[in-house]
Amino acid sequence: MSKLINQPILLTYAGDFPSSFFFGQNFIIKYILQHWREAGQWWTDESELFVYEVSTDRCRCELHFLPSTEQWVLYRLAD
Amino acid sequence: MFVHLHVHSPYSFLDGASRLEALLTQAAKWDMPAMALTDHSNVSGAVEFQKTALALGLKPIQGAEITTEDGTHLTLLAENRDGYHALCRLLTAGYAHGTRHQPLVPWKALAKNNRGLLVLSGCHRSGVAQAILRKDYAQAKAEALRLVEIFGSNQVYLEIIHSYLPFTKYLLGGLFKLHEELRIPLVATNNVHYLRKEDFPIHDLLVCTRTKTRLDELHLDRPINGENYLTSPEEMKRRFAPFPEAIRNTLEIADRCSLALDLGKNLFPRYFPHAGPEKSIQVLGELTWNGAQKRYASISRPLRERIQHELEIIKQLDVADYFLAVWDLVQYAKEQNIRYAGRGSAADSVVVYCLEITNVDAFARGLLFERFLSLERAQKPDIDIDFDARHRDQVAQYVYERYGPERVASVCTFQTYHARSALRDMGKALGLPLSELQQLTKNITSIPADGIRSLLHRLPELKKHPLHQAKYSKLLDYCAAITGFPRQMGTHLGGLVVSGEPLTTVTPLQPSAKGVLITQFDKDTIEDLGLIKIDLLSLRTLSAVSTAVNQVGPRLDYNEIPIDDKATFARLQKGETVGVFQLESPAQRSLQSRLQADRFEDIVASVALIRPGPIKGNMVDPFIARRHGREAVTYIHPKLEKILAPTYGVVLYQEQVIEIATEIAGFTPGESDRLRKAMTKFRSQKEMDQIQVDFIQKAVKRGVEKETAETIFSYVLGYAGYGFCEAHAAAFADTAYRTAYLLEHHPAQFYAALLNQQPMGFYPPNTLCVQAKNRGITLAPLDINESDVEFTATDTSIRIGLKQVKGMEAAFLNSIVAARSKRHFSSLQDFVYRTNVNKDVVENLILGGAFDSLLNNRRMLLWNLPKYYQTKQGSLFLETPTQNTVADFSPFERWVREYAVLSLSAQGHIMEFFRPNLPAKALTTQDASLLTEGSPLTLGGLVIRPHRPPTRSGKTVVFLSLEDEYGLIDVTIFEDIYRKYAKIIFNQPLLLVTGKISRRDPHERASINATRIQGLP
Repeated sequence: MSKLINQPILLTYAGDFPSSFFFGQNFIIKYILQHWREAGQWWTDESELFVYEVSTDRCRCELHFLPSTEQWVLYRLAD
Repeated sequence: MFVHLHVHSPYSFLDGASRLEALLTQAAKWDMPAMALTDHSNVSGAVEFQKTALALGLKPIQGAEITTEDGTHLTLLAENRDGYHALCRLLTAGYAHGTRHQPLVPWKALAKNNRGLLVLSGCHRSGVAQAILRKDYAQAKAEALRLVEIFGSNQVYLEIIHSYLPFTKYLLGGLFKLHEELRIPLVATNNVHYLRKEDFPIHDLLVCTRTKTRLDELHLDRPINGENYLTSPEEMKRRFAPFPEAIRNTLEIADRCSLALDLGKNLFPRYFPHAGPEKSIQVLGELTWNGAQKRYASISRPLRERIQHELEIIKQLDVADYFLAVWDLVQYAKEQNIRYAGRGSAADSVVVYCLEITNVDAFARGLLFERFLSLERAQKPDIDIDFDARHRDQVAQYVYERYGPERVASVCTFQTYHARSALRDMGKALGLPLSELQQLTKNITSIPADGIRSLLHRLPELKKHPLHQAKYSKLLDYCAAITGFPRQMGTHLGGLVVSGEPLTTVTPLQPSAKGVLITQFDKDTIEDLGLIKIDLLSLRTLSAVSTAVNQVGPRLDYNEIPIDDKATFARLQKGETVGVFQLESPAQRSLQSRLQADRFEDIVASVALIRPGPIKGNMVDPFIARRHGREAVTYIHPKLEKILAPTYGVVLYQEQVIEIATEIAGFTPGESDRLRKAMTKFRSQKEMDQIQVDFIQKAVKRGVEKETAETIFSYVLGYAGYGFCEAHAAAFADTAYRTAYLLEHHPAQFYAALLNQQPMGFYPPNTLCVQAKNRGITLAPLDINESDVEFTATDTSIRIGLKQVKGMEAAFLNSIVAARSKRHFSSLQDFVYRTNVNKDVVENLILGGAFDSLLNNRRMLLWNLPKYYQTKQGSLFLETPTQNTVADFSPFERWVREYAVLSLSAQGHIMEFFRPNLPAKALTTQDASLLTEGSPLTLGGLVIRPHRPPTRSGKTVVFLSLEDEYGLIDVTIFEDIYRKYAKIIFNQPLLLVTGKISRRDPHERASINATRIQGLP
């Protein structure tokens, strides 16, 4: 089961890699399971999107990074 | 350093989004030593790729991304020429096994054609990648081993692409594992589809067009991100930091590959396969000299020298076999009584004339052979022949049979994006509804897709065009980005290539929409590969000539038509030439009346004069004035007299330009040809400026005053943008004169023949009928019992043919003819019961008047028709026709409906209905033709062919003809009037024009300079 969150988060890095974020509680990122990029709906001026599927100490999460605003978003939590 | 080995260009049809030159230029800027081209299932870009890459200092690696029979992708690179040949055979096999739209290469074909190919395992759609993504490692291993087994372990690489797609990490991991286990080397690519990341929208839009989806719709082929751009070496190193050998291997592959395309060879088959070229030149010589005996009363020394000169050049260029092949197919056409006429620069050759391929005496005309063939240019000969359109395919079939189907193919064409097609495709992909797209493409002419903005500002009728709105700005940008991109492949109308070796070693072959095999190279690139094109063209005029001659019967020998027939020239002098090949447009009719042509040379000049170059270069008026002795013929330099005397000191033909360059500036034939090409295309002002500098410098060195040299070059410049050679003009003039003769002496048969060959010529069928009626010919109506399938003629009448009816098909015609051969139809019901013509077409027959002789009430016939179809199966008895229980259409309604289904009317002219309501002062075309220069008039008529040709001033001028029951009058609408009435001119079928008669000299046909234009209600 997964839960759609779609909320901005603050993320900390270890070097170039995301290491943890806070969303009610601290999530420590253990692995990046997958990473891909999406063009988004460019025709509606939607910006490009970087998607990270990560394994944290609590659960699997899908994080989005919007390079145009440098904003991280917790998009989804999974069991 | 890094080399891109997986690159798509626009030849990946609706996928690659950046031009080859742009991709190669960027690669050169990064000092990449090489680049590969791997378009989907074709090598159409190979020649352009090789030439451009070499010019930029890059090694071109030819390749293709193929789809195998199981639907998986594979990237193939030609390591050498053998590899290129194998690639051609594989692509051909793919089209034979799959479909025209989805070629699928069988694995067996890969096993059979494995030499000289390097294989990259492919993108995420490859067999290896798909198996890894399915988590079936064993299958992935089997797929990789299959490649090794087919191609050998030294030839196979595992292709790794890191373009940030989901599961990339997993896929790369799987490929690395295979590499470790099987010791197959890795190679990095980026599956490049466009130059820069910001070009991604163009790629996405093209994919939408290909997949027939809108941007907001999902499709598996739609790209998920914009990462497949031409990445820099640094970026590739960064992406593949864990796999440095994958970067290094790109260089290793580039190093292994050698030039795969062998350009500039002569692959034309030997006419005598078991003899050397000497035999061909010997036989060609014999045929030429024999022909010369027939063509000329005696062979003078200069003629002998000319023929010897031509034969020597043909020998040195080793193209005698080509001439023999063309001679051979012309022999076939003669045997089969298929009418033909050679044209183009081939008519510059006396040899070609002696072989009876053309009908232009190049020697008598003093035509320059070097315009056709020269040692210095060493280009391939190109002979164009027009055939009776009905039999062109029969001649082509002969060529296939003569040389074998594996050695003959049609040349492809690339249908490229222009303004309208780009607007339609990009607009559709953006989700614009059809009605909106129709509005957006309305009145957008055939211009390059990057010229729409300038057109919108240039044409007054587009002042309020919706494309001016800001919301369409991006659409226009997208259109501009794809201008000239090939959208799809088509078949060249006439071009056949004949090869001495199987074509599939040179070019892949694929089926066209009609099923004939076409090359993957067009006419411009096919010659670079060593193939020579023979142009077998269809000319409906020749079909019309044949049918007219047949209808006239044995009293006419077309080939013996006297060349000085006074009545024919008298017709030309009146400008009454509607229907005459090349001489029927308003401009030509006006020229004929002003020129007062009385010799064949005048017709040759006419054909060349009404072209953009002479018109823009202001050559028409001086030519006419000098022709009639009203202006002195002077030459700025004595050397020009010999060259320009036949055209009264005016530069009219390409041959003259070449001679001027040779005589005045001492240009070599090659330099002269460069000048001719630069002028013909006139694409680069810079190139023309450089030629001007060379011309003047060389002329001055040869003792010509600088000022004189400059003036002479200005004559040449005036000619720029125009590309007509005298030989071609003379070839066309021959057909023009003969059709004028037919029009003068056998008008009914000739007009009927023209009507049978529609669409052709400048005017619609109704105009031809009006012209025929004005010559006293009766236009007999469509009649279900009397009309033949085609238009038929006696000396004084033309009967409308059944095939003229809208929607008519061969099966319906056969059914009518078969039923009628038993007995005539007695009623509409009888017709319905005894034929299988569908109801819609029967309705059209009724509206066209086909049943008038049985019941002259078309509305009544329409009323009864459904009933006859209902009872067709059940009733054996015909009812007695009921007369007039339903009132017939009014005469006007009958005319309009008849015109709608026949594109003409036997009943009269539409202006007869409008004439009673015209202002009292309105004249007829007959009245107007008698008026003198400057006479004011008002005249109403049907608008025929409004058009905007290029003008001398560069201003927009509209020309149209107004037609009434008495004939045609031409109308000129200058820019100020055009701007005022643009919308009416192009949208109203009937106009009332007020203006003044224009008649520059007493002989000229009257035309109108419009000052006011109204639509007729």
